[in-house]
Parts: sequence; C-alpha cells; structure tokens
Amino acid sequence: MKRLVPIAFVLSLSTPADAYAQRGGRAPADVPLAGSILIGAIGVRFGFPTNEPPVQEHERLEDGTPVDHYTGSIDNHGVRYGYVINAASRPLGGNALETLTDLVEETVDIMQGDEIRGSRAIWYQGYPGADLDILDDENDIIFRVRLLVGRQRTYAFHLGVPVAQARAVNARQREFFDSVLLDPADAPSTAGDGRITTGATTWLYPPEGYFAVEVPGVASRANLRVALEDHDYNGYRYTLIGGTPSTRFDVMVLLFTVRSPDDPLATMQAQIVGPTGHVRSSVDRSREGYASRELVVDADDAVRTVLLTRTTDGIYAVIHTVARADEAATRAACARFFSTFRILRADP
Amino acid sequence: MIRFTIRLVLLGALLPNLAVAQTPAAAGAAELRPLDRATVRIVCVRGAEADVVDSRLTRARRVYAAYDAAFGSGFYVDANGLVATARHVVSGADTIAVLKAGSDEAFAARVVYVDPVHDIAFLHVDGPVPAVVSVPNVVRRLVVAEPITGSGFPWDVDEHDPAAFIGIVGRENENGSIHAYLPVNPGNSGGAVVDARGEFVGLVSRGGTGIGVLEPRRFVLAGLAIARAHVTSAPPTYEEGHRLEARIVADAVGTDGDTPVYERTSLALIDQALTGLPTVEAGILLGLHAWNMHIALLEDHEVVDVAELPAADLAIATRLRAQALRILRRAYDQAPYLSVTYPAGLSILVQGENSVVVRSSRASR
Repeated sequence: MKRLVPIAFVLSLSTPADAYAQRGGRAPADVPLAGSILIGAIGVRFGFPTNEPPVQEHERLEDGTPVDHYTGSIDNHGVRYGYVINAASRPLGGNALETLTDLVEETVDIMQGDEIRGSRAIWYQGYPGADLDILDDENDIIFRVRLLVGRQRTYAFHLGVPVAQARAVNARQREFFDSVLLDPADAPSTAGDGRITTGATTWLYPPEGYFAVEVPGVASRANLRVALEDHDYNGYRYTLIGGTPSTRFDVMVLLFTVRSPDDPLATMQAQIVGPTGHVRSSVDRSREGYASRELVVDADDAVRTVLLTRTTDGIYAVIHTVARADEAATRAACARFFSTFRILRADP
Repeated sequence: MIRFTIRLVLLGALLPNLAVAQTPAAAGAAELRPLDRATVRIVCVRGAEADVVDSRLTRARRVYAAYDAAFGSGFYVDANGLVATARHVVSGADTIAVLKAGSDEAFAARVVYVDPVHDIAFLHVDGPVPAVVSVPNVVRRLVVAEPITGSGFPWDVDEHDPAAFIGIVGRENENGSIHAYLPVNPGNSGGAVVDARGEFVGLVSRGGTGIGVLEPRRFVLAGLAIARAHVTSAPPTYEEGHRLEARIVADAVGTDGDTPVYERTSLALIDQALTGLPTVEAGILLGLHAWNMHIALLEDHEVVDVAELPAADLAIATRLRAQALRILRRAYDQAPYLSVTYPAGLSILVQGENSVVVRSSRASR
C-alpha cells in the first residue's frame, strides 16, 4: 500500500507553530488534555486538547481502494498536538510489519532534511508500531511520533515541542499516546509474519481470509495457486503446525477474482481427492446460506475430512488430515475444528 | 439487497413498553391467490456497521448500528415447511426471519440446502404452512410468449401482502435459465412464477428494465429432492430461542423502511433473550438493537442525554443502554471475529456510556 502518509501529515509536521517562537526559553505549561476525539465510524478515541472534530478527506489509492483520512492538529500552550488516521475500505493485505516499515520509511522521506533521533518498535493494544523522534533542525523543534498499523488503518499521533523544552512534555506525551483507544477489530492478526498466537485454542480470522475458525495451536500462512479447469486461481493456505505430529489442519481459500469454475465444489473436490484418493462419503449441506459439501476421503494411509464452502467470490476448503490409525482418537478435535468454521464475508 | 437505515425521529412514549403486533388491514384488501398465500418475505441480517448521524431534532451527533440486511421473497413448495428462494437472498445470513403473506409475525427458519451452481436455496420454516405452490415432477416445454405470473415482496417493506406481476416467456437461455419479460424489482428475488394453470415455471433470480431471469423448474426440482432428503433424515426443530431470534431480526431491521418497529420489542423480550439465543450472532444483534432503542427513546423525547428523560423513561433508557453494553462486551469476548462483520458494537463500546458523540453548538437542551 502506497501513500499511507497524506499531505496533511507533512504540513502538520513541517509548519512550526508561532507559539514556539513566542515562548522563547519558557517551558510549556503542563496543561492536561482537556478534550477528546472520538471517531465512531472507525472505533478510535483519544485525549486531545480540544473536542474539535477531525478534518475528513477522501481519496483513492493507485489500486482504486477508497481511503478516508482523518486529521487534526492544534497548538496548546506551546505544544503542537496532531494526528493522522488513514482508513482504507478493505484490509491492507500483506504483512503488517512490512506495512509499518513502509510507513516509517515514508515518514522519514517526508521529513527529508530532518534528523531521525530515535526509533523504537512497539506493540500497542495488539498493533505493531514505532515511536520516532524527529528533529527539525531549521526550527529547532523535536517531533515525537507514534505510528501504528492496523488491518485496514494506519495511525500517526504526534507532538511537537521546542528542543529546549522537550523534557518538560514527557508526561504530556505519555498521557497523549497512552490515551489512544483503538478498535480491537483492526488489530492485525500476526498471520502476516507467518505466526499466529499460540494458546489452547484461538480464533483465527486473518484480515485477508474472510473466515473464522477456532484452532488448537499455531498456524502459518502461505500463498496458494491452484489450477482448476485450465485456469490458475490464487489464494491462501493456513496450516496449523501445532497439535500432534500425525494431525494436520488446513484452511485453503481460493478467490475467483476473474472467473469461476462451472461447478466449484466438484472441481475443488477432484483437486483434493487427487488421483489416488477415494471418497468414502459426500454430503451436500448449506452453511450460513452458502453451498457446502462435507467429504471424507481415504488417501493412502491418511483420512481427510473436508468441508468445502462456495461463496460468491471464492471457495473455502477446511481440511483435517490424520493418519488412519489415529482417526478415532482425533475425532473430537476434528469435529470442533469444523463446527467453529464460519464465513465472515462473501465478497473478499 | 436493501440497506436498512434507522429513522431517528421516532415513535411515542409507547416505545419499549409494549409487545403488540400490528394487525394488518383485512377488510378491503384484495383477495390473495393461492400463489400469493404461499409467498413469504425473507429477512436476513449479515452484519452491522457503525453509522454516525446528526439529529435534526436534538442537534446531537450519535453512533448507532446500521444493519447489513437483505430482503427477498420465497414460496412454500411442500406441506412440510420447505420454502424455495434465491441463493443470493440467504447467502451469508447470520440470522433469518420469515414473514408470511398478510402477517407481520416473524417465524424462525433454517437453510437446509443451497444449490452450488444455480441461484436456488431451500429453507425450512417453523409454523403452519398457509399454501403451497405446485411444482410438478415433470418438466414441460415452455412456449415462447406464453403468459406467466408471479408474486413477491418488492420495494415496500412495510407491506404485509405480496404483490403480483405478469409477463410472458421470452426465451430459454443457453445456460438453462429463462429469460422472461417481467417487471421484477429488488425484493422479488426468490419469488415464484407460474403458468396459466398455476404450475410452477421458475424462480426469480435477477432482473431489471422489464426483464426477469428465472431459475427453471428442472433446476429447482433437482435441489428440492436433496432438500427433502435432508429434512426427512434430520427434521429441523425450533426452540424458544430460535423464535426469539426471528422476532429480534424482524424488529431490528424493521419490516418497515420508514418507521422502525421498536415499539414491538419489549424489555421483557430482551431480558428473556439474554440467555436463550441460539447463536452469538443473534446475541450481538440483540445488543445492537437495545442500543438503537435507547437512542430512539432519546430522540423521541427530543433530549440529548439520558439524564434529561422523564423518570419512567430514564429507567428504561438506562436499562437498555446497560443491557446493550453488557451483551456487546460478552459477545466480543466470546467471539472476537464478530468485529469483522459487526464492527458497530465496537464503536458503541468505545463510546461507552455516552449516548451522544458530540453535542452540537446549536444543541439547546
């Protein structure tokens, strides 16, 4: 995703406030944040010197994705407070940490000529982020910036102060940055970096997958390309790498972005069964109003239990593979895996 | 799909106190054909997003839940409660309610089979079967330009009776679907079209500008056999929670585009549903509905804050808000993935106890 930092952010950072010059060597007054900003549409709230609503702008990225920008800044007793929030209409995709790196690099590019004094990676409310200290040599101002990356949104909160007074605003900086309450829904799954939080069971609902399933371990994500009816379809494969060595859980997502096979369930079934597999049972059902098929497939020494679900724009294959000798012992875990699977959105 | 939008100028002090169903006008209404009596309205909820509105009356800016709701039609195909509809009407539905012709009573329903290739789905609906559309087990050849007629619930979501339409067969398309000249509109999807003898011809799949595309009888028959087998092998059963869920769906999205039917949802229903709903999705819908009802109560009294309400309504609004927040917190703890399809609840939780986001400078109260 490009242009995560809009022009408003540049202006907000690079325009020195008159108040700084006027205050000379005096320390900024330690004034609490009297107001707060709530942007209900994207579920974010934070303390701010004023209740003034954000300026909202709208643009489209190069790939056509609509993005809303929420910005605001104010000089308050010699300290400049500001924020820039970019909210895309769909998940940014890719790796959240890479997106954050892009965001930091873009911020640094924008501040060309200024000096990055410090950079620290942080995790805040489940969001990857970075705290930057940027020195504006020309105006003798230090900007402290907190960048956070969500599933669909990027957040930048900043506070600018004359260098000589920087220490005097430490408490105010903490108050400002720590006042931020973010929408937990936008906190990225760590699927993007190949790891999913471990635990007894966790809900896996990666931003690019549009499904949810409760998994008993750690999952990894890989890109997927499958040839069906002489066409290649792209998607993702999520594989549980925890559990017992003989058990394998997979969720495959294939997206029909250009065209769809004539009979997606039958085509995908043939792909999964393969040339040597044998279908032990097949039942057509529905799941959340989508066409679904439950299969049990004998393949070599393993048994595959499969749930295929066809949505408007793709097909989901939930697969539990187990050694034939372990089939009975893993039945409960398998049943739970399937019963918790659900489609979250028809139109990825 | 029709997106429901709350109207913040709401009804009177009756608001959450009653659980009274409207009585449709019987006298003077046009007589329904068997086809019309077999036709049902299908209401589905797939999610809810937060919306922010500036109230015209109170000048307050508020967050409320705007439901991602879909409305369509369907028709009974047998006396065991099977209803055929279009697949796209029920795709992605977390909760479903079915309203029968001439009634605003909501019935619980389950999707029992969805055709993977054609735009056809079958529901099993709770309650009595008023009439059945005849779907003969033989496929006859259609004649181009032969007259056909259908029934469904287009546009006016506050109407209790289905609307009839007529047309002619245009042609049979290469993929087997029927191209017909029919005035179908949003809400007609899933409705039945029959011939001059009243026998089923096709199911409305899509259309526009006077053309309707129908899924033909032979495709419906194939799916119907599978759906019947499912219902026979495992007959759906409905508990009180399912019936509550259907009532909440119907009330939450309203069967009326202009006047939300909050007055039909009683506090007793909310209390009852707190522990009895069958799915977490139904639970979050209840929480959002309770929140919207409390906002509606404020707007009805033209006050900005709960504290400004008269004593009796103050207690009701406070209880609704507390219930809403409690239900929403519990739902997101239990099923965090709900944040993807129901982000509205998160915005409401962020807002917390505040019924108003910003009090405009023009707000005088």
